[in-house]
Amino acid sequence: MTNNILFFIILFPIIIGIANYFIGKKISKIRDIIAILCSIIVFLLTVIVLIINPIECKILSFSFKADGFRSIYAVICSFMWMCAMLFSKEYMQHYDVKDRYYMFNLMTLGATLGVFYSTDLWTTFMFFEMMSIASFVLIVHDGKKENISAATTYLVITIISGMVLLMGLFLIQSEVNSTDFETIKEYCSTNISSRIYAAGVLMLFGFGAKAGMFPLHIWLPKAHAVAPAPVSSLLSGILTKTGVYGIIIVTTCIFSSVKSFAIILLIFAIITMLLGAILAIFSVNLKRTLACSSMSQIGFILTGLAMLIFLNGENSLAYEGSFLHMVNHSLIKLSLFTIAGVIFMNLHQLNLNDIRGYGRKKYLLMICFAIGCLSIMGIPMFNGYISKTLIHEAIVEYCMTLSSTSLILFKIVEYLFLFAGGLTIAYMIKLFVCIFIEKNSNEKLQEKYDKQIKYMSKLTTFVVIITTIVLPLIGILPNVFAKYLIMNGQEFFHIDCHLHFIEYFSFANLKGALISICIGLIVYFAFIRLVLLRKKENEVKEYVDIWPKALDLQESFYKPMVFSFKNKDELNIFSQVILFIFRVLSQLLDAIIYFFKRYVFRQYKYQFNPYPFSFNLGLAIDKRKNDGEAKYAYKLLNKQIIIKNVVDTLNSTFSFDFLMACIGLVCILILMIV
Amino acid sequence: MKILILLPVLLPLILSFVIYLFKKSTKAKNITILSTLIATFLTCLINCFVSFNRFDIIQIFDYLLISFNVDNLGRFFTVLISFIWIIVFVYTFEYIKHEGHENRFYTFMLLTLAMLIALCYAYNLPTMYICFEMVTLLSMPLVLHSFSKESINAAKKYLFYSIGGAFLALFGLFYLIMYCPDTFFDSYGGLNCFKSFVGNQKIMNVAIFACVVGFGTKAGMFPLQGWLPIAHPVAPSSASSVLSGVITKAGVIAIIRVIYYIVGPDFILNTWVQYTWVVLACITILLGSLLAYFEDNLKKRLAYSSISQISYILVSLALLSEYGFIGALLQVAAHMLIKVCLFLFAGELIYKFDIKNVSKLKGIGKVMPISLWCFTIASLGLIGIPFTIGFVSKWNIAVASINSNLTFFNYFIPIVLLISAILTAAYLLPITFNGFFKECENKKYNEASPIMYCPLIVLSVLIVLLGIISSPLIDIIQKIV
Repeated sequence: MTNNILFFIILFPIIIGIANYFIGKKISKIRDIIAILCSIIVFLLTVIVLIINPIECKILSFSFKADGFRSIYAVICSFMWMCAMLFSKEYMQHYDVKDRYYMFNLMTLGATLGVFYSTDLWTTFMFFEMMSIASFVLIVHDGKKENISAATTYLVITIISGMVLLMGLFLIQSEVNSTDFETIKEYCSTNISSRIYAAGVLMLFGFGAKAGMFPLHIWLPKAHAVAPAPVSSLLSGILTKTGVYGIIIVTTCIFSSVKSFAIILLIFAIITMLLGAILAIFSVNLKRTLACSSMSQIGFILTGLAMLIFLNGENSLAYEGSFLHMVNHSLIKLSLFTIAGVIFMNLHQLNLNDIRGYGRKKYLLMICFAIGCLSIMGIPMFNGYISKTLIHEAIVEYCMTLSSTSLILFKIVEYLFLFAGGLTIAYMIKLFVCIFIEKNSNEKLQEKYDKQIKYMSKLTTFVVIITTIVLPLIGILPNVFAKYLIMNGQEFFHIDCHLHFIEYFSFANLKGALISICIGLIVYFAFIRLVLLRKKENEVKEYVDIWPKALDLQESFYKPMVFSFKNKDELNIFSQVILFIFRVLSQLLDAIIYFFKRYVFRQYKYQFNPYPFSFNLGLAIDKRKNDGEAKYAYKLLNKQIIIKNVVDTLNSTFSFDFLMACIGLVCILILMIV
Repeated sequence: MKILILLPVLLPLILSFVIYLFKKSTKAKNITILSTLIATFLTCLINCFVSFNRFDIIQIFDYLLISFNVDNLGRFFTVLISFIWIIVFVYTFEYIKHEGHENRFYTFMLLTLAMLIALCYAYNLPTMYICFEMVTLLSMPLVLHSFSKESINAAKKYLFYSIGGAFLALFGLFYLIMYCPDTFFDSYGGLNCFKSFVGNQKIMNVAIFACVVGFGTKAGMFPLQGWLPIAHPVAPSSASSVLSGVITKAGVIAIIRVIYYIVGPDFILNTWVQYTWVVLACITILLGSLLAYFEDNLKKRLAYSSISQISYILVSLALLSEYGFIGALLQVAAHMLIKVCLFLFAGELIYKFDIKNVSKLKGIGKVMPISLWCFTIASLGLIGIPFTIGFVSKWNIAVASINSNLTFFNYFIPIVLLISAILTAAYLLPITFNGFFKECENKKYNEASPIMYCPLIVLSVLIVLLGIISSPLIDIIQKIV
């Protein structure tokens, strides 16, 4: 029975969520409290599960397991949810459909935990899709125009990537005859057929879409920017990680030693990493910048995973780096998005030019944001530094084993990695300087901003502090927290070799961070301050978004590919041709029949000719009656015409049927002769 | 005692005449109908646990013996069908006020039910064929119900296609009856057991193909799918829901009987018959989904979607493997529940607001939230999102097709399924989306009466429940195999 606790943890928030919807309709006061309590209980339960590791649970068609990595991530997940829920209480105060919000929020929590506890792809996929659909409602929550457009993008990407993922699952299921991770791992360690390879690549894209990997990243900046802030922090911190979780499975279970796959993954990872950072630099929207930053950080994690395959079994640096970066990124983004939420809650603005200077003299907010910034930048003494250093070291170690040509390639990879780290520093400085140091261009507004003292409730303050305080703790004491995480996670990643624990603060390791910091400062002062900060008509400098519209993948590439229903004129030629072909096919039989009816079997329309028999018979009766009127003659004639009509209709209806049967018979005859 | 087999047939048959004794729309009439339908459902259930011997009614001449028996396939279908009929009738009590002529409508609905159950219980080819034709003829008045010019045309077309298809099948059946020593559905060995076929393989293939295409007409298989999008929109909604959800399955039953019980899957394995069948079904899947995507009339859209969804079943049957068969029957159950739910929602809109087009559905979720929720769950099921029965069936079909030994097609079919699923999402989800998140003029809460939305709730709960706890259903189906 105790094993079923896992299923209970997953089911509990879902049931409470649904029940809460109906409770909230009746008594709206206790709804928030129930939701918060529920998330706290879930958090405690996951902690208990972490303590009594490991648990296995097979129920219905699902199978769950709580061991090192899974339990840790479940705890992080429920911790973040708890914080987001606490923050929601104030943030969601002025929204009207809170019942729906809480219901889907808790449903998403349950589904996400289901993903993290799953031990076979079937379970993963079930909960993955449930999570996607439930979180869709959260994104669209405000119901504004931007929300709808972002949510549509999200939904389309979700459905398409879900189907791609499903195709991969079909292939796995048919080849391995099971979707259990361990079975797949065993099967793939001996032979990787082309079918498995295809399945892996399909799954990479399916999960990659949720993680925000390059070609399908388009939903991420849009959705994060418009969703309510607690949701954005969860989207960015946890939901993208479910995608990463999937990719980890693909890399560690299927392709644990396939270098060609690692190259594919590495290419997409680097593009994601750089593109995210570049988009973040250009963005002028606070939450959008953070969202692009998420995308970039996911790129870092994926790079780590690619290196994991390259370094297969030789050392564990890549594993340590990517796992720690996952954890760090989740926690950092929670803190940053919460602060962004506080700002939005007060101003209802996210444009950097509008919120500029808002944070001046709000020291608590400033410090917390600064810690978040420093962490994600990878400054020594903060947690981002550790994970980035580890991934960097992994690349360096791999370079040592290489010969000349591929060495150059991996040197490039290393410098791109450092460059992306530099860009991270640049855009985070941009955000920090803009919000907390510079003055707003509008002086009256600035005064108003400065006077605002009470900008968040006590509960929110508590959330902001608690989410931030974790970050430097991990950074300062890497050998305590990081070691614990690394020790527990290795089973899931199938790491067998002994673990590395490097000197984080030795010069060799600090060097990478220093290079990044230099690049970051150069980019900030030479590019952002000079190019992106431009003077408007009224001689005030403002941040501008000069990212060319033509490079927007969605508008320029995806939309023309998908035909939209609303404006049929905009259909591209490809889809018009397809539509035409299918229209023709669907009308084919009707057309043939119509053709035959019209031209070949035209029914003979004869002139009215008196029917001598009935007419004469009628006349004879009339004469006998001697009324002088030709009554019966016409009566009989009419009757006969009616009968004639009925027979004609019957003939014409059945003639075609018989014709068809005849054609069939002729075909048979031909076949028999041949 | 043998007549007990036919009790589920006789009950609605008798009832269809008894209802004329009642005056117009009284409660007593509704209760009588409902209780009889429940009794029918219960007798179907009882038949599941009792084993019978063959029951021959009449031997007309040598080849024409009317005979019934209850086997597992029949049990599966009759329970589903009689259950759906209860649901639809509850809805119809309210809905029919909109259409009028309730006695006529009830009569033909009940007669159709009786014939469908008879079709499931039929035990040899001639009996099955007769029941099949009766279903067609008796469901025609349902399409004809409003007697408008459109509906007359639609009914004519329905009749034309159905009779044409049935004749095509009949031609195939002649050959089968000629060559087969017996046409009962119990010789599991199939045609391969008889040596008389050795030289006649070619002709038999043609005959079998004619059967498939002919019976496929009812199931809306390309190229004889044209009647569906014409007949469904003009029929009253409760009729179109059973037309699409249940009556099309008559074709599926007939195909299963012919291919799996008479011919035997091995006989046409890897012949051109199988390949052509798969290709035709795949074309139908894409064609239905694509045309549904470009259709604005809601019921027409759903009709096109039926075309594509029923072809999932046909494609799965065409695999001629055990897993394919399981997938097909799961999809039968899934599609029955889901399509009935979707059509009933469309009917609610017509009943309440006289809305027929999708583009006018903006903000409908604020007006009738419960119904739209049910619609949403059903449409998620149709797409094949996890935790619905639609996902279970599609999973089984796709895995079966990859495991089958059809060269090339084993990858082709899942891809077609997934493209169709994406299109399904594209034509169904915008309704939900616009319904809940777009503004509308009439914001007042104006849900239809509970008698109309309760059936929807029951169906959508079933869709989810069977999606989560699908193993009992699969076990039942495995017994049929």
